[in-house]
Amino acid sequence: MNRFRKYVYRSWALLRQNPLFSSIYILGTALSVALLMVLFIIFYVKFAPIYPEGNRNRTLVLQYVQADERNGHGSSGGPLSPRVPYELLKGLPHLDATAAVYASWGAEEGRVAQTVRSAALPVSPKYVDGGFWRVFTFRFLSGRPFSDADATAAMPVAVLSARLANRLFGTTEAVGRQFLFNGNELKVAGVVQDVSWVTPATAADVWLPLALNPDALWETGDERLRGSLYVYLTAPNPSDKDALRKEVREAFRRYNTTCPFYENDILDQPDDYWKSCFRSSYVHDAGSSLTPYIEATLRPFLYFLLALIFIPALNLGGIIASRMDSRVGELGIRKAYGASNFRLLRQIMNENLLFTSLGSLLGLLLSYVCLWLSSDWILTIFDTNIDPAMPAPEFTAGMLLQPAVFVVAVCFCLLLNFLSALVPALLSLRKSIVEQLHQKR
Amino acid sequence: MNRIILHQFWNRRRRNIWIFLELLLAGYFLWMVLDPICVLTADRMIPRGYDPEGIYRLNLGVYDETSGLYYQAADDNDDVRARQFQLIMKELTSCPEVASAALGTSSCFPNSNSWDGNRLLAPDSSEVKIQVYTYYQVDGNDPAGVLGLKDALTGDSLRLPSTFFRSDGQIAISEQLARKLFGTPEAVGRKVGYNGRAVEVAGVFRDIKQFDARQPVPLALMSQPLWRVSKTIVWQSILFRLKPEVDAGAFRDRFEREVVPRINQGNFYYAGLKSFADYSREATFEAGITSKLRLNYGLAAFALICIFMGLFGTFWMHAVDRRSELGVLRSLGASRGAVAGRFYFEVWLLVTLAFLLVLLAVFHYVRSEGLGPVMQQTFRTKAFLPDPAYWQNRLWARFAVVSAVTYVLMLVLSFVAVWFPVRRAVALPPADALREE
Repeated sequence: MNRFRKYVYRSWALLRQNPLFSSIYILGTALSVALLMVLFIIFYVKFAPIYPEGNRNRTLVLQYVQADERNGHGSSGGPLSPRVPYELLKGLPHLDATAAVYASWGAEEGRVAQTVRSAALPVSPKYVDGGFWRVFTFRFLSGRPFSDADATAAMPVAVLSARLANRLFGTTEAVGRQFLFNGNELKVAGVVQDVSWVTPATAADVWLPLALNPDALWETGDERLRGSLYVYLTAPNPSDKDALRKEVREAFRRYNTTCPFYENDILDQPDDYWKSCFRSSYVHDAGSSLTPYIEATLRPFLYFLLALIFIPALNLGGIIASRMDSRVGELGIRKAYGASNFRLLRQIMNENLLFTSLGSLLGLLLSYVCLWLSSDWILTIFDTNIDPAMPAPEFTAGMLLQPAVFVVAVCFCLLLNFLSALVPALLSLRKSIVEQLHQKR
Repeated sequence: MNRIILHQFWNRRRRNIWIFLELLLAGYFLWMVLDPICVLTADRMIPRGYDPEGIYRLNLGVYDETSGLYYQAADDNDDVRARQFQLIMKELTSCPEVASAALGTSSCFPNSNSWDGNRLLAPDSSEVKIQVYTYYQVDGNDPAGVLGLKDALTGDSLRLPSTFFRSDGQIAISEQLARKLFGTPEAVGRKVGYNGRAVEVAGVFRDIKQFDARQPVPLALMSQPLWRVSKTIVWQSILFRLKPEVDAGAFRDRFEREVVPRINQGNFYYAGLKSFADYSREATFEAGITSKLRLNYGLAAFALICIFMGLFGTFWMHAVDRRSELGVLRSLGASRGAVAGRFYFEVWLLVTLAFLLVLLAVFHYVRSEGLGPVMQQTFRTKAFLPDPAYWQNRLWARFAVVSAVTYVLMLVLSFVAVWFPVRRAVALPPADALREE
């Protein structure tokens, strides 16, 4: 503890001794950490379990099925029909819950009003089944979700977001109240905490029973497996996902043995949640969008990452090398009094850690500011096709202040410190005591 | 003089090695990041070929069978729908603020997220892939007026003959398409093959871009009878241009107050007006071009800031270390400018040497991998071969332009970075500087 205090004191003295140099060092670190943290947070909120997709780590996703003619003449693909979740995959041993969501073309738009005479508000609806509320972790502010029976029987009920309930009724205590959706009268079953478009699989203003939209129950193809649904499956535990995946593939394999004309290919699905994000549903190029473009997306990201680490590391290394030149004499005296190279190396690394830590802290704050200022577009920065009708996503404190974010910031700080300080320190310590003391003179 | 500086530069190689390595890495990174920016910027700078100012699309919705406001009698009837569209066109063209209006399919205007493609048969029997804008044969239809198309030969506003909207035997083509078909833009009156029949070229207009950040492709304007109007309202486009002096906000208020109640008939309902500027912004965003540019601007800024900080720190240190040398130089009569010049020469040398090595690495990369399109190709763009008339489509021209931009940026920023340390160094009086000796 005493030694640590000594390091901090010495670092502080170095900082005050050469404020401009230290500022450049801290700013360089901050810039690098800020960019890395922005990238990390973007991917974290896209893939990690956050409200209301708290089960992402045990969720598997089926988005497409492709029917290939056995005679090799052609194939056609698309989202799935209700047969898949309710018949084909029903009762799988490692299946905890299933959700079917209507896969609309882009962000769907509807109009809600309190009465026929009142002004209609444009809203984003989502048609879902009863299992949706078990797969996803919505927080109900009042009421409860509609049931499987409600969803199947096309009961005129709906779940509203808190924002829409407040706009329509001035309160979130709206259970049982009536409103018009596209001219149809519906009753409020529950009101949930708002969902940001950071989680597009669940985001909407109003959630309606699947059967209220005839298109959602549509099925096509000889085997009637293709339709307009995305299917989300949860395993009881994250460790059971692989078992569930095998069961789903086995179910399709078994089913295919009964199909004389077609082979139903699920293209290596079901995907882990993160992987499903790389299968574009916004079909500009129907052929290629069915295969995940993981490599194409992650390769530039890897280059950026390497650049984000090595360019600042060289920058900071140069600064430290210059500082080490002016401290060579001091190191010579320490060595003359018996300090080992390892001890001096540790001292230099620890002293430097204070600067890197200050820079990292500043960088983390800077990354939050960047995310806050660019929240309406930053999440789409790596996307190749974006639905412009989608409302801007909003970051919440809960998404940003996650332990994983701090752990990554600390790890990156240590890595940067190691990469930038190690080589200059070793080069300085390589000189003999006489050389070092001579330089001092 | 320069030999002395070179000698000193060589002697200080150990001190400069860090910044040199950083320049190498940052330079390579910068080249890769600037390449898409240069290409996309060049594509954006190609003239649109139409004037988006004051153009709007009238968006309509239609109640379907699931809606509580659905009227069975009014739907699924060709005559009713055709009459409805004619009424809307009449309402629009009779507005005193509206200069011209057009009714076409969903893909008949720039930045539409719908696409219609086809092929034309040239007189030499070669096939040319084209994009098609299709308009309905309805009174008052004036797409050339709405888009502000210009005649390819005279540069005046394009006037389509009145026969264009009476039959589907005529076609208007873009200059690029005319050159592909006939080798010249003078193509009016000539015939081309389309869907197994001959159609006559009624006009040749200057190229227009479908997407602001893409290059123009061969385009043809066609007409079709109104009875082909689809049941689905989203497959139709009603476009209009406001007169130049009209206040758009005031027009929108009056339009929604007075005209919209007459449009809201049957199963149609008014769903708003959307400007071409909004379509353009959304199309650029949707294609990921906005994101790509933002990301690359951010990464370029990052590389440049790193270079700036690296050079600033290094030359600050140089200036401190070399005080005594500068003191001697000044006392021997060297002017401030001459001393500063030595520093700038060193910076130039450092940056240029690093850049030459970067160029070698990039050259090797380009030769082995080539330079692909900066944006993901879609079925819309895959069909068309890049036009070599644009430098961004020629491999070595693109290499040269991006290299020049990278070098200039690195050099300018480097001079800016060392300006303050150099200024501080040369400002020191010789007597103070010699105290260090």
